[in-house]
Parts: sequence; C-alpha cells; structure tokens
Amino acid sequence: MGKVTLRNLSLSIGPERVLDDLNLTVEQGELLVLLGPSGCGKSTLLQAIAGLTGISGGQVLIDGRDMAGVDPGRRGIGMVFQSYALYPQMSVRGNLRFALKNAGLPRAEIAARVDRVAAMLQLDGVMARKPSALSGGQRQRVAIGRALVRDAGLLLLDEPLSNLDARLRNDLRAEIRRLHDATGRTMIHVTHDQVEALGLADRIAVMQGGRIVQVDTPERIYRQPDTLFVAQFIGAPGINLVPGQVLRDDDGWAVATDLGRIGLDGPPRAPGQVQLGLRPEHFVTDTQPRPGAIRAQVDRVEPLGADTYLHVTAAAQRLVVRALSGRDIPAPGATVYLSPDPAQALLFDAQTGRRM
Amino acid sequence: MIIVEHPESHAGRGWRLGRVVVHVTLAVVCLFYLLPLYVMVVTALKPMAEIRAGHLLALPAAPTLAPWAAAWSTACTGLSCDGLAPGFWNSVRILVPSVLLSVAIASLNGYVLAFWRMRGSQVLFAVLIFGAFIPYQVLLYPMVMLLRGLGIYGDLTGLVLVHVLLGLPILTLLFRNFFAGLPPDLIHAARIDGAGFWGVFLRVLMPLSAPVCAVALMLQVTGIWNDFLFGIVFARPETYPMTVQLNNIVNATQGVRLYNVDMAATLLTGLVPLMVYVVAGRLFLRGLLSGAVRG
Repeated sequence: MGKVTLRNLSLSIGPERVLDDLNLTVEQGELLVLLGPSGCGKSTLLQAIAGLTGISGGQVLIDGRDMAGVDPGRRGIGMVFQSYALYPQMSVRGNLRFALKNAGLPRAEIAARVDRVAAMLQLDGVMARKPSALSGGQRQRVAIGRALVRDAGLLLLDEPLSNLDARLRNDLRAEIRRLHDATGRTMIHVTHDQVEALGLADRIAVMQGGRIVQVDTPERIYRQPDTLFVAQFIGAPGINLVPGQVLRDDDGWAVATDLGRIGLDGPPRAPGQVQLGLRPEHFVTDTQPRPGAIRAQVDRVEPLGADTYLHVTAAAQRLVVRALSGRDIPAPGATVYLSPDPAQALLFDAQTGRRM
Repeated sequence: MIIVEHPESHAGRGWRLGRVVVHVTLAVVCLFYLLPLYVMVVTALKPMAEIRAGHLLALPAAPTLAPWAAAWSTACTGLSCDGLAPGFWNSVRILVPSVLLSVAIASLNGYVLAFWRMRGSQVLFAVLIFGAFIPYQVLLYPMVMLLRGLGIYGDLTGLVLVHVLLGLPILTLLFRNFFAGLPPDLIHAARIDGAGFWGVFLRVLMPLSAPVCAVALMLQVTGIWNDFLFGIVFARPETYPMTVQLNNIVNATQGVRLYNVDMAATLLTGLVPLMVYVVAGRLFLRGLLSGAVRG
C-alpha cells in the first residue's frame, strides 16, 4: 500500500510550466522528502498527487492505479498542511473523526480508531478542546492525527513543521520519523529546510524550477551532489566554490585556481573550465604554515555550538572553513593556513553545472 | 465587550479638551436623532385630548395603550377598518420565505463562485456585481410583465420572488468574499477527508458562517420589511405588506387625524427591524470576536 509512481507528470498554469516532465517512484513504506527553494513546485507536486489540483500531462499512479479523475477523498491518502487547516468549529475529537464519518464507518470502529491515534500522539487530554485552545505543537499533532486516522497507505506532509519554533520543530521531526517507522506508511514530506530533509528522509528528491534534479539518499545528496544547484542548496554553511582550470603537470592532475594549484586524486572526466566545490569541513585549518597550504586571513568567527566556522579571505576569494575542534580558535584578523583535502573535492563543469 | 483603556501618557491638557469637544458633539447628535423618537413614543401614549392641548414634548398625563390597540386592529385605511394586523401577517409571509431562500441560494452561489472554478465563473461574478447596482426603478415594469406572465402578479409568491432575485447579487457577493477569505487548505483538508460538494459546504463552511449569515439576515430582514416600493407595485390590497398598510392608515383623509394612532402604527411597523438589530447585532459581534478561523 502507498507506492507512488509519477510518469512524465506536467502541470502548466498559463504559459508557466510549474511541473515539468517529472518521473519518480516512491517505494512502499519509504519516507521521501521533496526538497527545494520556494516556488520550485514541490507543494504543487504534492497537491497534484493528492488530486487537489489538475495536471496537464502524464500520470499519477498510486499502487499502480492511474489516479486520473479519482477524487482526493478516494485516493487512499492522508495529508498534513502547513497551516494545520483544522476545522475550527469542531473539537479535536470532531476533527479526528470527520473523515471516518464521511466514510460511513460504524460508530464503535470510529471511536476505537480515534482513541488509538489520540493515544499515539498524546492527545488524550485535549480531545474536547477546540483547535483555538491548543498550542501550535498540539495543533500540528492533531493535523497529523487526522491524516493517520484514516489508515491510508500514503501520507502527504506539506511543510508541516515550518510554522513551529525551532525546538518544537526538532521534537516533531523525530516524532514524524517515529510514526513512520511504527506505522510503516509511505510518506512524502515537502520542505525547504535542508536540515529537516537530511535528518528525516530515506531518500531526498531535490527540485528546481519544476524539475526533479536529483533523487538520492541524504548521504549521497550531501557528498555527491549531481549539480552545482544541489551542492549549493545542501549544507550549512554552504559549499565553497572556486573557479579553476583543469591541468596536468609533473605531479599529476590538478586544478589551477586563484588559490593556487590544488591537486586531484585521479584524472577528471574532461579537461576545461570547472567550479571546484569544497565544503567547510574539507579543509584542514592551521595557525602555523604548512607546505602547500593556502594562506588566508580570518574576517569573522562564527561559533555554532559543536563547530566553529571561520569566514576567511584567501587570494580575494571568500571562503568558509571549519575550525578544528580542540584547538585554539583564531581571532578575526589572524592568519590561518588552509589545506584542502583533494579526495573530497567536487568538480563541476563550469558550463553545464553538472558534476564531473 | 472590549474595553479599551487609554494610556496615561495621553492625558495632557489639549487631549482632554479634545475629548470634551468629541463628547459634547456626540451628545448633540444623539439628541438630534432621539428627539423625534421621543415625540413619537409620548404621542402614541397620549389620548387625543392631550395632544390637542398642544404640548408636544410633555410626558403623557394619563398614559394609555388604546392607540396601539387601535393601530393594530381597528384603524381604517379608507377601504376597511382592520388595522395593521393583516399587513403585519402579509409582511411575515413575505419576509420569512424571502430571507430564507435568498440567504440559502446566495450562500450556495458564493461557495461555488469562491471554490469551484468553472468556465465563465469570472464573467458570472462580474455580472452579479453589476446586478447589485442596477436601480430598482428600471426593473419595475419588466418585473410586472414577468410576474404577469408567470401568473403570480399580485400574489405573495410574486413579491417573494422579486425580493429573492433582487437580494441575490449583494448577498452572493457577501458570501463569496467571506468564503474566499477562508484558508484554501481548509477546503483541501475536507476534500482529502472525503467530504464532497455538499459535505464541504454544509459541514465545514456553513458552521463557520455565523458572522456573515448575521450580516445577510440583517440586510435582508430590514430591507424586505421596510420595502414600500415593491409592496405597492406588486401587491393587491389583500396582500399589501405592513409598510403599505401603514401608509394607507396614516394617509387616510376621512374625519379627524388620529395622531396617537398614527404614531403607534409607525412604531409597531418599525419594531421588527429594531429587534433584528438587537438580536442579530449581538450574534454579529460574537461572530466577529470568536471567529478565529486560523485555528
């Protein structure tokens, strides 16, 4: 139950292609996160899967069945909205049982299902309250409960955490993962928050301008982004990009950049202009000169708890690097020496933006 | 009730003077509006002898309800002497179906126009708005022909039809705008939860519509009850609404002019819209204050 297949899915509003020839399979029981910036079409895609918006071309299949012309209420889905969208005039209990009443289930079964979901989400104490008397976290739990109570095989979550404060967001993120593992439902979770995506997903589908640009595990999305866009969108602080030219000299393959010669582990697929991508943790940072290290000046120190990041300038290039923990943190104005790890470096074709 | 406390920092001299001017102005305006009402009420409670004595503002020396009883059941229109009562019941028979039908149809119209985009819905909406601004005089003659064609000219049914039709544009606009202001996700959630066209309307939207229904009720009840034009054009003497009946009583020019009966009749006629303001006005306020839709 809950397998979703998109075939050449397109959606145009006027002349604008909001969804452009999407192909995607979400396996049964998988938690897939749709990740992308505002306006990339990820929420629209979710609505298209739910049947809340029409599509211009292609197919949405749920469990192998074409959903064309099938009502949202008959697609076997539950959905959670960013704005909660609870029925304000109904109590929590009324909200939870609305779908079951519409489905015409017997009274006893409705009560049993509602109680089970309420227990699962710790809503027992607030069942008689109206949504306006609940906190933000409780409201979102009711919204999740309303989606769960139908025993639908597929759960669609449209930025369910973005209206909550940071702490609550972390709690509910863990809860969503726990519910997923406990119930085994297929979930499609939309977010623009890459931390949320990396922490939650089995697989992430990164969207850009109405297209899916990469579908992969969080690990691979982070370490092996297919395109410059994905590399830049994932990671905080963001990846450092340095323009350069691939060359071969006596010491092997390398990239010539403003920072100097940066050696490569193996031969690149093609020579030419490239963007060299180095994440903040791909540098070894030292306060003493080392052979081959890049000299840089610290502009700003950004302590983020577990890690401290240094904003530095090296040969007119601005970079963000991670300071090694357990060592003295350099002060602004200090000189540091950076040694990039060539094994970690990502090479992108400067023309196409694709990884080489 | 919301009580707004004035911050202390504003309590300067100029500010206090300003308040005095505002309050005095308000008091004068109140007096201006209340004085005629006062005169009506005391006159309606006086016997004719007292009125002829000429003290317009004096309180009644011997208060009596006889003029009210006369206005209700025995005042003459020149044709008959049944008082306002037949007109009252005609008005009720016109009002109740007109209000219920127009609010029911307009809320449904508003729902469809707000959420179910169909071909031509924008055009339809534009036409409806235009309909709200057509002067009634233009419609009178065509309406007479239409009702005659339908064979209900002079019937209460005809009058109800006219009121429903002419109330629809503004009420539809009212409901559409209210529904369009609700979060679309609410309707999305209801559709996912398996509610159909009627389920969304009756079980999700209408329970949220108390404030807008109160506004619609106030508009329609006062508008239809106070209507004189359609009553006199589309009704017969047996089907005259209360306003027309009142006019006929007050303007009947035989014998002595009974000011106290006229005043009592006028007050009786105005009682229904007044009550609507009191009752629905509260509902309206409560709806506004508790209508936290986001939540």
